Amino acid sequence: MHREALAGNPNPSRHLQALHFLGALARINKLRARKSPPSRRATALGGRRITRAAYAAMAVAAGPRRAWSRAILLGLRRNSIAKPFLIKKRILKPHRELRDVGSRAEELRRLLPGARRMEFGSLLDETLNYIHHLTAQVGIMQKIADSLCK
Amino acid sequence: MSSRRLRSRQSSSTRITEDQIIELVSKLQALLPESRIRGNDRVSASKVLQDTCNYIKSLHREVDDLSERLSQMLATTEMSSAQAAIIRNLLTQ
Repeated sequence: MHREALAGNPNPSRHLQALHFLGALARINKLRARKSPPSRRATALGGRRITRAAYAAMAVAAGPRRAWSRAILLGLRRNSIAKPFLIKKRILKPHRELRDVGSRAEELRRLLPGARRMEFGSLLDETLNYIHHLTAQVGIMQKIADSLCK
Repeated sequence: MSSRRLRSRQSSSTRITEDQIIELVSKLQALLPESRIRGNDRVSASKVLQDTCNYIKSLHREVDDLSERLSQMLATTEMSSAQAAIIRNLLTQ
């Protein structure tokens, strides 16, 4: 069932992520082109749309096997901007200087979509996968930005 | 009823063993940007989790910043002409 086994490609999920994001970007760009001239507000809105597209691309590439990707896709389907990571000025609980693994795990559960009630071992596993796709997404966006610069 | 602490109550149906947790923690440690400096020195699980949280937060910020940048660039650049270059760039890893 692994995508990697199906394609001869060493990294099909990453390509899927890149192409999905690029397609979304093209759609967003098309929407923007209809409403010209671009206002400052439109640019800010475009930024949020692009952020949403970024997480959608990650979730699609990860597939429905992951709690975090399901949480993202569900949140997008409800047409709501997923709160945990799109509201920048979020006030977290006061940070206690505990070395306790438990409290660190709690913070991780707040950061990871769909991880609220997750058992510790699964939490670590999900985190690894999430970071994998997140770093891939940053790389994709960086490459696109570089290409657009030239 | 799930226990959230590292030393979870060992029931006969525990899916993930403590050894597997140790392995996952070390895999996380290897991913962190700090590991380039620390090398393979063992770090406490609590520190790994703390660094992981910080890393995820910084990655979220990067995605936000890049989204802003892309939004501004798309407003000024014609994307269709750059598409071939973008795709070529993306698909050659």
